[in-house]
Amino acid sequence: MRLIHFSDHKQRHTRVALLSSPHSETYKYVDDQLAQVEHCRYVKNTLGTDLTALTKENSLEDLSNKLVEGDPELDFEVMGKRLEKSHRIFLKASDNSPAFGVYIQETRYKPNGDLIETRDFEGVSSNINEDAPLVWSNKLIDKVECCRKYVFKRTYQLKHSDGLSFDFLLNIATELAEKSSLLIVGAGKKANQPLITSRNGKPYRGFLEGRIKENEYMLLLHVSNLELKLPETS
Amino acid sequence: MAKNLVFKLGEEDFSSTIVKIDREKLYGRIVKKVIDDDGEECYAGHISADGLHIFGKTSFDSGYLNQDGLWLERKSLKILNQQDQVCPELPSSFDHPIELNNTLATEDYLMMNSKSVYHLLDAPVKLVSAVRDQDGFFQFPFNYRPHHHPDTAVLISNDLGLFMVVCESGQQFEYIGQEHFLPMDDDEDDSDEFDFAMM
Repeated sequence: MRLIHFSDHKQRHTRVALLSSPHSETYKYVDDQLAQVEHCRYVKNTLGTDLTALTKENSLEDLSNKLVEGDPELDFEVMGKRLEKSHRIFLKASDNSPAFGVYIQETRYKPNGDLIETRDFEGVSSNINEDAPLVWSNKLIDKVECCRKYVFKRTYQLKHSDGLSFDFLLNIATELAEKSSLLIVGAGKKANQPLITSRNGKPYRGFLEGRIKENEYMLLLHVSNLELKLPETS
Repeated sequence: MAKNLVFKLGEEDFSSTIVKIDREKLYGRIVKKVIDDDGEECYAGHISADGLHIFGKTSFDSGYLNQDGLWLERKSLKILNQQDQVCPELPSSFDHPIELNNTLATEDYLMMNSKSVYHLLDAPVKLVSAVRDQDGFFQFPFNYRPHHHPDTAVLISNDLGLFMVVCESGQQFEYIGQEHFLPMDDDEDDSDEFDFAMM
């Protein structure tokens, strides 16, 4: 279970659950008898029977003749099999041989394509459940204005684990619902750093929304990494 | 390539070219490469659990099987909605005018995640004003290509222009009462025995 360590406007803080929405399928594929079908992933070829391997010692013309005469592209032992379990390995792009001692290099480009820098990739940890809680930013933004400014990519729901954290979250939701605003949520002392919800995950800006119905609450953390604006060249 | 949409608001048609907006265009891009100790570029492949077979970029494909395990061509499949009704294929939104007669409340829009964003490049002022002055957001079904199940798109205007946000629905969040708590994971040993060796 993913936890978020969060602080309210009175600087009280606790850890609560951060949940994704259970994804409900809005449609499903069926056959002509209206019976449900199964989507499967299967093995098409191996490294020994793909185009790179087959054209290593044959020209395309020779290969086309061999395809007419036989089935060099088929590995009958594995073709069509459903691979239930496998391990990831890295292969050299040049000859598909296994690679060793790999590292990740990242290159950053400006929107116009200009190179900014190339550097070794350094993994990042999640920053939503650290020893210090995410602070209450006190930066509120009107709901409609926020929708006109940012594009929301995902939404999480905060959920309590006991009676005390219920009161904690209910109070936050009530505070935000009364103001009809979203609270900007960020990491760091000034709450101005992006949120990273999982290890090596994408950084996002967070916006907390509270809704109240009788004595029940809905506290939603909307995250965004895109503004509704135009590229500089437009 | 930029494409043209036609919106129908009341009796009037408004035509606008849409241009996709994404992080790459606004903020630039990051390209990650895997390099091995020989300095050669690599890619992620798979090895079978028994270690006998190595699979590369083009080693896998996917398809559909019926309940007897027989292969089905995708074009022979039908699509059912949540009410188990067969959905007919709907045309692309570029092939017909889009009626702007439904709105979405802000709270309902916030329940959807965006899939893609487009700028309506040369949107007529009258359309921009109508979107800006509307209470809530105009929403409509949107199919980039003909499909049985369209996405939901909304029009949003701000000081910088008119945008269309294509969203995926299906998120279901509920109000939570005190009794619906979620116990924290308990990593501790369930045993009642008091172990002095642990101290």
